[in-house]
Amino acid sequence: MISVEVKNGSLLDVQNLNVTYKSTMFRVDAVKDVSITMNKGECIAIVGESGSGKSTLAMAVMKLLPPYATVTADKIMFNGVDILKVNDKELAKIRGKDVTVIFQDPISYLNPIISVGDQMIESLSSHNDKITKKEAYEQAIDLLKKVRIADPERILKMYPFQLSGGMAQRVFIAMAVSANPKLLIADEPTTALDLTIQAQILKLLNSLRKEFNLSIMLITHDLGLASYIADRIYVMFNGKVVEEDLAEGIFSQPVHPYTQMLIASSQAIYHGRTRELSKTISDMGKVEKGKKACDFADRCAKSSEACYNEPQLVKYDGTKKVRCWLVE
Amino acid sequence: MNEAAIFAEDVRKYYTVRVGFRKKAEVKAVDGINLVVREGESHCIVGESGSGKTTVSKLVLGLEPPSSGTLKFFGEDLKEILVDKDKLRNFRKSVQAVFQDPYSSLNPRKTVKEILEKPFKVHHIEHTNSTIEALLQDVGMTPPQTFLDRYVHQISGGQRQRVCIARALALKPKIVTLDEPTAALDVTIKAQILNLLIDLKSKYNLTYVIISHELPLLKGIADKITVMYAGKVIEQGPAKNIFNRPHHPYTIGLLESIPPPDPKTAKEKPLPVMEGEPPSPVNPPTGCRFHTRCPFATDICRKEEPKLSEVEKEHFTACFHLRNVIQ
Amino acid sequence: MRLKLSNLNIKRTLRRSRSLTLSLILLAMVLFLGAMAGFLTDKDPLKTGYSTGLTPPNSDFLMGTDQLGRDVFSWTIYGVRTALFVSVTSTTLTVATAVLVGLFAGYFGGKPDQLLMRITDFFLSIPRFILIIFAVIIFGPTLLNIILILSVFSWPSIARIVRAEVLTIKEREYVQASRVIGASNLDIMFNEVLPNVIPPMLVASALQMSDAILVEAALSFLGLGDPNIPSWGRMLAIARQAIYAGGWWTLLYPAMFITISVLAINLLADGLNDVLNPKTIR
Repeated sequence: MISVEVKNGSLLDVQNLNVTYKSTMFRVDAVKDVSITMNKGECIAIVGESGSGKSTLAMAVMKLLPPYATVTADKIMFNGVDILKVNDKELAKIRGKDVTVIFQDPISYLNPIISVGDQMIESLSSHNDKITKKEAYEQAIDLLKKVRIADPERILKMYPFQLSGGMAQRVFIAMAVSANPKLLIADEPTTALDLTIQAQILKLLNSLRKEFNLSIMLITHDLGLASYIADRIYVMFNGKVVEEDLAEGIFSQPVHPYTQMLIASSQAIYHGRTRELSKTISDMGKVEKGKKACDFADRCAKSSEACYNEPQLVKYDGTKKVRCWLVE
Repeated sequence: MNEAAIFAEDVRKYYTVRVGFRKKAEVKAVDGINLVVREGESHCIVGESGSGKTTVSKLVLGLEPPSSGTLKFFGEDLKEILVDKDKLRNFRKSVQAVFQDPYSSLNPRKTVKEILEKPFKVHHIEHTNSTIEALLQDVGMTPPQTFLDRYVHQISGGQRQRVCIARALALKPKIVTLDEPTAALDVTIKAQILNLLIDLKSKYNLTYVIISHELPLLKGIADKITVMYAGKVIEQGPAKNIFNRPHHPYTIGLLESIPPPDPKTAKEKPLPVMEGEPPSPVNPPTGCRFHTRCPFATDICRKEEPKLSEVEKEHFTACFHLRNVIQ
Repeated sequence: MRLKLSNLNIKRTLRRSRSLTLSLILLAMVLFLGAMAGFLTDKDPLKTGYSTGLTPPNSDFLMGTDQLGRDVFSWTIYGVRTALFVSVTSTTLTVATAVLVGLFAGYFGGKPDQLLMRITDFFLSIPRFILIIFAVIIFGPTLLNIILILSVFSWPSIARIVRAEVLTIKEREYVQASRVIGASNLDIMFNEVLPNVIPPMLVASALQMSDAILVEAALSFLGLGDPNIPSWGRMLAIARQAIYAGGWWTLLYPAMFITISVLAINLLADGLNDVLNPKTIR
């Protein structure tokens, strides 16, 4: 296991984050009252299914959301900088240098009419005014080698649409680590890739993590990926964190019914034993009168009267926190 | 039934694409595959991008005829079916499909009722609301009445996929092709849909052709597996054999690439990685198509294409170095 | 979030789009005047001699009269009917043709598609208005001719939009699903593809309507309009001379009505876009 500094939240400290999407047509509370912390060198995974708010959370931390999203929080501290108070210029400096993001579909995030080489040189120059074009080119080659691209010169001449998914993701990762960031946010980085390529990228991220002492925030719905790379896991459902713990703790002792459902399904699929899954695991909610405060109650086998009130996230056992009346 | 539900012999599908101003290139999407799917069998076709599996699903649905080779359904050649109106109508009733993306496989301007009525209307079969409701009940959407007037955007992803399955079952088909039926779904729902598919298969004695890249999922449902790479079949056999005793280096690598959902095992066992990328279907490598990524490749692999040979009963592999790697 | 008419909640829809609300108000006012023309005035719009000459607005003539004694108010509000008739009928013809052609060309591709594209290119490469003028001169300036000519020269560009939409939609999986079910090509084209083509079409159609009003007005201004129908364009031509004698009212009212009508329709197009395309709300 990577050694982690004991000081809690030394890299990222987010307290009570709320994100609401508002327009004249609708209002969605995408993230409700979420707190996450990261230490230097740590890797966390934010796990959830579609609609859980995990991507929104990751983007909100660096204020990367569009203007119709309202972001409020008690605290967002990154590496000692108060993100809530900092001005746009300072924030722009932090983004791209100390914090970088990689996304699901890398090709669409690259400029289609500029060659890969030119884009990398542009990105390198923007972080380092004094660098010459030639030096940037050499650095680009080095970076591509670091992400295990065998013939970097050829790739630099290509245009993004000529790259395969895996190749493009490596290029993107290369650009992301070029400024030696402290935190890499990876939003479903392998979802669009083939299985064998996914394994390559995973392994690459892990080795880069060791090489650069890089902290990674992985957003994913795949528990296998989270198991492989994360030290700690936050499980999200419908905008709220329902359970958080060390990775081993989440799997060996899932407490929240949703976490249990998630792990049971994942493992059943992996071992090909879905027939043994309890019938209570379903996407079809019960048709019940009255809306319970806990959003999961509708699908929960263990729901009760208590669920009409909002459960809070409380400490369960050592490192674990759970949001459920079964615990309180 | 002596005749196979689907019989494919040396089927090829080539596409011509324009590359540049006047140059044309040939995309060898499927380059000579053999397939025998027996009635009541659940046959899964596995591969990554460029393997040709999507093209196979189109061929199996009769959406496009093969460029060459024989493709028969219950003994009838597809070429003859496509030119005969009556035969084609019967074919369409007996071979149905569930597509990958539940978001785009349903017309956003139609209600669930309208979508499910369509197969009946097209074939002039009498139907009532109860017929539709029975279908919805079959796929686990209860109470069915509440879903009839909903639009696609008003139901969840898992529910959409259930509607797609219901639509496929409407005409009481014999063969159902499923193209990545669970790829776009959340984990908890994947398992449910898989169970649903298994139940429906035994209830209606269906024959499944499932195209998927989600290997572990198939453990629960596959009888036979065909592994494709760059348009060719590189391993084929009973599912148990493929999972427990894979022979081809690609199959072995594919199975090992999947990180297990369990931190203890994930962190203890290093993730073996297959280097390289799937080849382009326009310019496949010479000889064995996998040789560029294969750790066991030798000279002969670069020059000649290996043929499928039987390594165990009904289990075929195409490789010059038939190794049996004990997992 | 699509809207089907059965789910329409009118108040909410209007609140969503200010353009839509405003356009509907303007259109309602204009249409009211046009519809009630018979009740609002007893004077024949094209008849001369209601007064001896250029008369400014007064209690008898709300908008004054022109040099030949025609009542400006009467002509203006009867002109609504002309503008409306020309724009609605020509747009209907245009859109119907464009949709049919675009649908078939986009869906079947191949030679019909190539043919359509070449025709469209031809029409788009020559200034449309000049072609229209020539056609009107050749075939004669009657209302029917103008409507037909307008349609003939307007459908290609809309057909192009339709074709582009069809190309995208026909690759969607729900279209493939219908093919697998066994639906015929015609069935798919009209029941699966067409309903999804309509939303973008509505906006183009609305703009087409305002275009028709302007073209008809321009033709009438040049003296190429139908002389037997009350057209705002011809009022403008008359106003050209009346202005020198100080007759501002002969220019103001027709110009105002043309502007308001075109504006209202463009806002309608805008509003429709807001309502039908949830992405632009944000």
